[in-house]
Amino acid sequence: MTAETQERAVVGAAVLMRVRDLSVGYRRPHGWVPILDSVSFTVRAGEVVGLVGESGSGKTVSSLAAMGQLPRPLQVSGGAIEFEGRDLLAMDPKQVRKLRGVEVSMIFQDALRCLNPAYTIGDQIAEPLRVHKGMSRAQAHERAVELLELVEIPRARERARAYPHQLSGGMCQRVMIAIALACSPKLLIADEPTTALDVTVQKQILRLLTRIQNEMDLGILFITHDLGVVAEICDRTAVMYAGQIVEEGPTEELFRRPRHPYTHGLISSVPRIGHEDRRFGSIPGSVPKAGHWPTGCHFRTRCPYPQAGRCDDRPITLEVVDAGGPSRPVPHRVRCARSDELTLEGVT
Amino acid sequence: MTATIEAQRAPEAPLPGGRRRSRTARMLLAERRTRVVLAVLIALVLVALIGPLLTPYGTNEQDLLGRLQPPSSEHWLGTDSFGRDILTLVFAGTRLSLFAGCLAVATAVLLGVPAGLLAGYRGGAFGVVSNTVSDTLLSLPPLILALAIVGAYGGGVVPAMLAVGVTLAPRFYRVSRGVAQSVSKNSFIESARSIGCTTGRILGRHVFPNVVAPILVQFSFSFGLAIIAEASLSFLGLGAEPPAVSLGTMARDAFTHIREAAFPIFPPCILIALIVFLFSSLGDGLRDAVVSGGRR
Amino acid sequence: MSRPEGGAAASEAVLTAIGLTKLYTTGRFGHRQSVHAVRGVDLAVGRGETLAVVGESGAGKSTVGRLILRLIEPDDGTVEFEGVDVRRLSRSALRRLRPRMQMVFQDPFSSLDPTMTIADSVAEPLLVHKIGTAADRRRRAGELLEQVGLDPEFGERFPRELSGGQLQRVAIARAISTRPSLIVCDEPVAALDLSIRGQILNLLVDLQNATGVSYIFISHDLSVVEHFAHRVAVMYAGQVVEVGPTSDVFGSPRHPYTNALLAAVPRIGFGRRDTETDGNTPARDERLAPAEVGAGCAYRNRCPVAMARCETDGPRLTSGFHRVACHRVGGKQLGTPPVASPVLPAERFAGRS
Repeated sequence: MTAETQERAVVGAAVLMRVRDLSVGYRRPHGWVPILDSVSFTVRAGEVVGLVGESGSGKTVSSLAAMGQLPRPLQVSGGAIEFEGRDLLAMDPKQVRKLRGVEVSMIFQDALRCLNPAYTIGDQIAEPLRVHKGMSRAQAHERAVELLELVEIPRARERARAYPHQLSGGMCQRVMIAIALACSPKLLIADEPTTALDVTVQKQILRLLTRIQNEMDLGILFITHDLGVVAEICDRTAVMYAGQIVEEGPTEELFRRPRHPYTHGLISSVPRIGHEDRRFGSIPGSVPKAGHWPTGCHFRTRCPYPQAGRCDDRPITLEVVDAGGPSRPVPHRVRCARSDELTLEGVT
Repeated sequence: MTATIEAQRAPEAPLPGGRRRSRTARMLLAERRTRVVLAVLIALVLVALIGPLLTPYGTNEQDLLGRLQPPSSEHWLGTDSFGRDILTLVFAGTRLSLFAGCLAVATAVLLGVPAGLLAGYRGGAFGVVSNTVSDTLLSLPPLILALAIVGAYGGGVVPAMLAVGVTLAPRFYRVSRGVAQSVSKNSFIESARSIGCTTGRILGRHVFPNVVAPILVQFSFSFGLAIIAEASLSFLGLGAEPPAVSLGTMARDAFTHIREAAFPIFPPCILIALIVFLFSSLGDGLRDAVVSGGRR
Repeated sequence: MSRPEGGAAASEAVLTAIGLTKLYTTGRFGHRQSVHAVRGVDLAVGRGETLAVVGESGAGKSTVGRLILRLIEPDDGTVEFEGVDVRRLSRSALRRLRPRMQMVFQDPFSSLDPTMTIADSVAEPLLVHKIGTAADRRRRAGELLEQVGLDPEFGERFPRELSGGQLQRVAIARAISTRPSLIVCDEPVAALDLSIRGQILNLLVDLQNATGVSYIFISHDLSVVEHFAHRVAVMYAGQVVEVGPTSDVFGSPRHPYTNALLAAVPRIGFGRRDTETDGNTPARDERLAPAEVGAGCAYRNRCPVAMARCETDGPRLTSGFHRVACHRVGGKQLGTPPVASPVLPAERFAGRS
């Protein structure tokens, strides 16, 4: 981040997306199956917010909901999703579609599958420009070449005539980023964009995203399960477990002083190069399936510190444990009944 | 010596309530429509089998004075050109037609499935050869081949149905090969090889159970086709020969004498249509179950 | 986990592979092209030792695992397993050897037959090789499940009822059922959640300590490998570019690609990070098309220290305990490994929102 954007991010930058108490689930013959339970997060202009979780956490569903693209059986059962103050859930589907690709864009994990094999990449980047911005064919093509250069594809003009199958995985992901950025969106939702890429390619893509984000003052919601990636590029992070956000706050704070046992468990599970640990950290047990969440705290069946009477009988709420200082007024919130008592070890 | 893992925690226990019943059967019968059709079919088969007990008449009990009678209280469906009770003939004809269908489809399965499984799993030279054979057979109009074989080897239900079976075999070959190919991509097949399974065991125990469902779909559709093929051949005089009675011969008989009595054509035709419809519906239901069976 | 520094030289070799090669041909009759998926790979694993094979996609590491077990037929090279020349064996002799060398696959959800119960899957190797009676096998399946940390009750379930971590344990139970001396693990934790990986890795370590089984551990995740393997072989474009004791290879990497790999792993450490001046990262993310490699070094278009010789002359692995295939290396070390510095202030986050 540049110095100016840092400043702006600190002092009340524009809120792009605000998700408030979002609950999502689907109906089954034997009842309602919840997938998300009261999820809230915010993304401001110029900041990268990470959404971290493992399978069954609900992170992908959260991102789909934010784009208004929940797949058929899933329904919103409560809460609100606002983009620049406008309630997406109350909006006409046509209006939501107008937002997509223009003000809010999304990039996915498997870039090659998201590209149409029958059209050149130049055409595919030009398409949103012609559809949403009404550019002529020539104009759109020029801008497409500019975008390819923006995403650091060498020999951009030549490459614009290539087809997706002629490109490597990293190239396809860059093309997807170019398409997503074509109409200069304000918010980019990135769902595990580097998970399927080689680690050397991943590094370049992350650097590219950081650079673009600085230049365009983009807000990014970055969904991933990779803590290393989160540590590299996310300013703020929310950790999800079994449909809930269990901890959120400034990324470094989260790693240095995790307040939730799950966050602590996750961090301990990452083997780090250069550290001589004796055994691999892990969290025993498995993630409870949707609809089989334990009463009270969803994590209590795997937590090393459960306490009867406090962790098991009532829903646990997300509470502020640190409002942050004047230079960094970003609160650190935790969903843990024992957060004031536990001292958990973080990364030093 | 057992290694203790995470000794402070008890070993993971499964959630209660797992069931052992076959997933394939459950999936296939999930839809009500399938179950209903299957029930009707089973009823039909049972009735056809116990048919002789239900009617006082024999199959070949001729009454030349009372031929081509319309339905009456003595003969519920009337009589044919030899004075035989049509209702009795319907039972007998259904039996034979079903048997013929079984023969044809069994031939098709025996020829097509093992070859398809092997070709799908192995590929290679065998695959190329069998693909060619299968495609060639597919390009032949089924009845023409049947006619040719019957012409060469003489008539009768059995040669005719074997011929029909040969023409139906490519369908089973293709389905088996296609599914075997996609199943073989799964790592459990590679795992089976890595523990030292023979090809026979891999095909029989690992590939086949995963192929059963689509094969059953094909079975249903093919059965309908076989019934029609038999009826057609018998109608042309190349299938069942007297004194055997099939729905096809009944139709032929009725057709020949249609100017004398209009009614006798209906029972066999309606029954053929009914049986084919039931098998088609069954096939549809099974196919829908297979297609959606992967998704929850 | 205490790791003996000796490795293969100190203990007897369970497996020695020399010059393993696999070619794939593409193109039609007129323009047939051969592509090396694996070219001239040498590997050795000692008893009770873990050799990691690392590399990115297309490196050929999965192919190497399968060549060693002869699940894929090698086009060239020798594989000697417990003194037996694996390539010379007939099909049935090979099948009889299988109980001694097993494999654990990457995707736990598709590596078990969905139509078989867990107990049947675990005991299948015993059934196939006619070991024990049915009752023996049932009992042994229960023992194996316990050994991998699962309740024997799981034996009655089907794979679709288990989670990824549980399924991988089952796969391991199946692999150890015949008491093999070598297990090839093909990215066994890549498809699992982060917090579950440790369970499986610890299980593998415990099994090795208890039974002395050797592992060939294929992975693209370097951080896992560092704690798990005694020795590591780094592969690029079908060839081994560096191999040696893990602490040596990670501590003083000699091949430019090893350097780049180590530098690219995202760190959780909030020390000083100079992403701009990272000379270790390749400038372009495209590797040479297989047809373009020719006789030269496959890494040359991405290498920061490539020279003219690299175009025409493919480097060979040096000899010794820590072997490198690079013309630049003549005993001197390349680069220093990037390590997260714990003490310096977290500059990156100063003044952040």
